[in-house]
Amino acid sequence: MQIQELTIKRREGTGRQVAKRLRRAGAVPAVLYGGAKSEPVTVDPRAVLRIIHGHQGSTQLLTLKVEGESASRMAIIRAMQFDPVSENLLHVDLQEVTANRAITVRVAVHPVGEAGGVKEQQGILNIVMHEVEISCLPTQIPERIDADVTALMIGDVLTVADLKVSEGVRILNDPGQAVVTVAPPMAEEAPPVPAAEAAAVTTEPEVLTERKPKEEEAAPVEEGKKEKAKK
Amino acid sequence: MPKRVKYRKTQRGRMKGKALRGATLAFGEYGLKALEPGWVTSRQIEAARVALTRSLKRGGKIWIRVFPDKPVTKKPAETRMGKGKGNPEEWVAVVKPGRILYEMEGVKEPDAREAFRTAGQKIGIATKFVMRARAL
Repeated sequence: MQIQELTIKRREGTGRQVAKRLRRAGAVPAVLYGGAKSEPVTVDPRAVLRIIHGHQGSTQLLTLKVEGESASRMAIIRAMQFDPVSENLLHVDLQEVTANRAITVRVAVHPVGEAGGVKEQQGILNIVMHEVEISCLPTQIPERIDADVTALMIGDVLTVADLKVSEGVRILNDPGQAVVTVAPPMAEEAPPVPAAEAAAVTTEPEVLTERKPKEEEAAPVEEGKKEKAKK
Repeated sequence: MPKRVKYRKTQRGRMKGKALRGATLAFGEYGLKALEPGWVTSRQIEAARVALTRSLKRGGKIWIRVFPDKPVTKKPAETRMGKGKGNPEEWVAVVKPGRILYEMEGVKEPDAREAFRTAGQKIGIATKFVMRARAL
């Protein structure tokens, strides 16, 4: 596995205003933790995006170089925040790791081959779990976990127990959890209901807090009125 | 529209900010993302779903990520002001920018793009096509 390199820069200030100023200047605020103490840093968003481009999931081992310092450290990208609309990178969490201590990371599941249920029965390959959680040494993080789906027919399920991983890698998810299934093709659309019928069928939902008329209270009042009228 | 509700009518509310939840793909490979805030009515949601199903024929699987749980009331035409709030007329889903409206899986990218382009025309707000990052 090729280890990518990322240059980080220490930053002084923290908080929303500082982060906004940094983003305007073209940098992205980040935090580096896992060492003696957490440090606020900045990274170049283009460098981070170049690292994760074409890499399903973001977990891979990096060599961090602090600008102005010669020493380098090993780290992984633990989390990334993106703007929900523009999808610009907003923040990066970097975790410092040591080569001899196992870590827990999420790795993408990659279906291999064409499922029999898709090829012969026109089923739909449904990836239920896109990522699995594994425990391994930082140097052994696999780029992805291949799931052989060629034998799957409609209704078949490939579980976590069926995934094959290299030695030193342990999957932490429940072995019975479904990873890939083959669903039957979508049913034919029923003919549309005419508008008049649809309107007749549509009713208002049941209201839980609606006041119901009190029959017991209403009855004695009416009786009392009748008695008054007789008098 | 929900089966049971606690209250028959609700206040209008505000749609400030961006979607903090439901802004990433959770089930499928491709998705349709809202770019503006707005009320998406149950009719629009259903029309877009039908458009998606028709364009996919029988292939692919669809997930709907929004649900119209907000009643919108309307006063009858030519009614004077006052005399209380109008009757519920339609049901809407409150959508903030960034929200994923639909997801899809089991089709090729050009087909998904075309299906979502057609579906996006049925929704009253601006939308865009999004897809999951893929290994090279």
